[in-house]
Amino acid sequence: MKRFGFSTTAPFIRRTDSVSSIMADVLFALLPCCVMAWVAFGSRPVLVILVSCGSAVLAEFLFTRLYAGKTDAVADGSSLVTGTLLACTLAPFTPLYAAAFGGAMAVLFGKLLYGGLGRNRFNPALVGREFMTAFFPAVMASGAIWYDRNAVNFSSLDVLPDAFLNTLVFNGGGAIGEYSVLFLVLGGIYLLLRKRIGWHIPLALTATFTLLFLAVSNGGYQFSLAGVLLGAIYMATDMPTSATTRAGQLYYGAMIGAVAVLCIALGVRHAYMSYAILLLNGFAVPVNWVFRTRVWGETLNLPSRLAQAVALTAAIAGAALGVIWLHAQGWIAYLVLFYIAWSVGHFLYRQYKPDAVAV
Amino acid sequence: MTRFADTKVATREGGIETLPEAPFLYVPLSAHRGHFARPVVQAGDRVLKHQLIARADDPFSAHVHAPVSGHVAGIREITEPDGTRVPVLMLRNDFEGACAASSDVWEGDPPPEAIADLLAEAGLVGEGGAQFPTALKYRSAGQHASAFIVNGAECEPYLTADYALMRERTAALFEGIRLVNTLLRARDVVIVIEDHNRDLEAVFAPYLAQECYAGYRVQILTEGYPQGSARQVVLAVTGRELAPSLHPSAEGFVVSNVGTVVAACRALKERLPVVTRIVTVSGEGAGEGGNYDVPIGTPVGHLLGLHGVSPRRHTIVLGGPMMGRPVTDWTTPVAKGSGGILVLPRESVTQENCIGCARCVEACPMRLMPLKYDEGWRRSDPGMLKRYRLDACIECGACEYSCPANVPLMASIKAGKALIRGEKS
Repeated sequence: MKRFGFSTTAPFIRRTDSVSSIMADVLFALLPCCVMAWVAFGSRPVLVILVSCGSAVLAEFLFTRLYAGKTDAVADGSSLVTGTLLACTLAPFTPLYAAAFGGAMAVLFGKLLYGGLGRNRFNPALVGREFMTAFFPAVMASGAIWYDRNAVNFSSLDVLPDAFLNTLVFNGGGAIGEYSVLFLVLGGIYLLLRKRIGWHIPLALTATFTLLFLAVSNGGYQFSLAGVLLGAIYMATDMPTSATTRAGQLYYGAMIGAVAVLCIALGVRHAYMSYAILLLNGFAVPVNWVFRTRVWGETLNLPSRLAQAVALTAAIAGAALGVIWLHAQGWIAYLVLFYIAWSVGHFLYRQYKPDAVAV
Repeated sequence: MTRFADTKVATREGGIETLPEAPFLYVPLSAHRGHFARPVVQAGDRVLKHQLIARADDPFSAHVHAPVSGHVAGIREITEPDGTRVPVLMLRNDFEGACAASSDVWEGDPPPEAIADLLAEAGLVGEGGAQFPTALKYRSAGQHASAFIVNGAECEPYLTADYALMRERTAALFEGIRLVNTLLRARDVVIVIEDHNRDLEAVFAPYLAQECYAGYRVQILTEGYPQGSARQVVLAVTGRELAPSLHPSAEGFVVSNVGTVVAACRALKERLPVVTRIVTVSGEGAGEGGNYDVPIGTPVGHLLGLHGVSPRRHTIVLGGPMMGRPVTDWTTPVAKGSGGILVLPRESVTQENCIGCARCVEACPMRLMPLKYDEGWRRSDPGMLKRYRLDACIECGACEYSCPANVPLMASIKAGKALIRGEKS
């Protein structure tokens, strides 16, 4: 939540940067991918993006207006990023009411009930996606939302001399954000150069994913390259919900890759990136602690840190198996219901006992 | 380390000037934080320049001398931004400049065993900002000093007072180093300067060639903030990372600001107390600005008035922009540790929630995780603050400078330290 005022304590100078310019950079990085969605299926997926964004912004505006009396909470642009990222994970012909529901739930249960941008533990866009799966299971599982022959704008682009390279530039299958590996990567490089993301999480994630996938796969498993990149570059690097220190980010990225491969190997066919990122979101606090910085003048107690890291890894593996088991039973929806109860409880508790310092 | 745009260019080349004295001075009676000197004069008394006006009763305090001749108008307390109340002796300047008779000057060098006493007598405190009594620091190093590090790294933006002093008071600087080192007897005597002040090497060269200064060396430090902080300087010179619990002097590394060493020269050679210091007046609203040799106790308003600064529309800062303090009362005086008076544009700041971007983690010179202090403070969780080693924070402000959400990290750090102290007591 924002507060305006003049500096009354040091430092009296500040680097010129802002949360809204970070959000603007993320939107700019995603823009080419949104254009590729139009290339694939014309205006319909673009409409999904707009509805998801509009719903996210409206939900944030109404909620902050009602509960905090603010009218400028949406100005930082974070709900636009959430809406766009959510749409990127959706099928191009997702019903618009479902996209609207997802956008609103993403900001409400992903962010606002915890106190707004930065206070959330889980990636809002992925929270929105899981809500949609839990509340519209039939719609989200239907094959019809993934393809419509009449809507095809371009089935392929012939811009490069090689067929495989052309599929990296454009590939007309998958979710809205997944049509162009090239533009996903270029957007990531832009964010890297602008220092909006670090290389640690995406690199550790993709490297671990590739190595483990090659190790366990005997041709029987499939994954979406664009889907993994979308998760690695744009979702797993989400600042509030990911690890903070560099060592922590390497571990965090590697564990997302490992959990995703575990999901694939144990039969999770589509939601593996979503599960892996949300699961590690939940472990960001202990990851930050185990991989905390070595303070000035301190000697690193390596055996103790290693023991902590092993225990943490065991806990993450256990939790991952639990989630996969729930998925196999078809009980993820109950997990979402539990999350709703927990979020509302958290919100009410905060209303009753606000932060020690009003922000 | 944090890097800034060059803000020093405005005042760097101007040399050291003097300004008309203020008609009224407000001499602070504080040294290291929370320790005060006891006044030995009363309202109505006439005092002479250099006369002792307040006596240090505890070793963390320092004597205070009259910076001008005149009459004592009274003693009052001013409240610092952090809430501590500091006694201030008000002095009406008679502009006669009548000096107290100075004590006998030594023939040749004073004996080493007398040096600490002479420095205490002159009221020397560290001029880098912390105002730690110099005599106490040198005594605590005892005979174990392995390195005497003369700190010319002025890493705060805008400030060039130390640079001007090194360039224009070079003879006094070298004599001060030599005399102090007759006490410390450090084998390694190092003057550290920052990369952008390399031109000083040519200024120092004729002195380094002299036999009495043989063995002294100049070390160029990479630029960045907070390069001038004692622990960073010790690391650069000796390669040792001193844990926050260790005091550099007690480990044999004596770090002294260049201004302190010049003041030591005057105290030891001429037995003159500290009654002036060099102050940078700069910032976007200060016009030309410059470096000035200013009597201690000169009110900020007097100096700004001479620069035609209007109090509205600007934020006035005493010290550097990173660690200085805001001035709202124009009678706030220049103290022995004040290196600058800055007139900065008053900009509105939008504070938002921490978004966990980790810029503060990258900026922290002590390799801490400042974002955890915001969280720990909000939750009033002293355990979390201690786990993440808030005790090691040197309050340099680099984290808050880097924060894109303008999270009030320094406020949470100061409040967090108070929270831990409160839990202990």
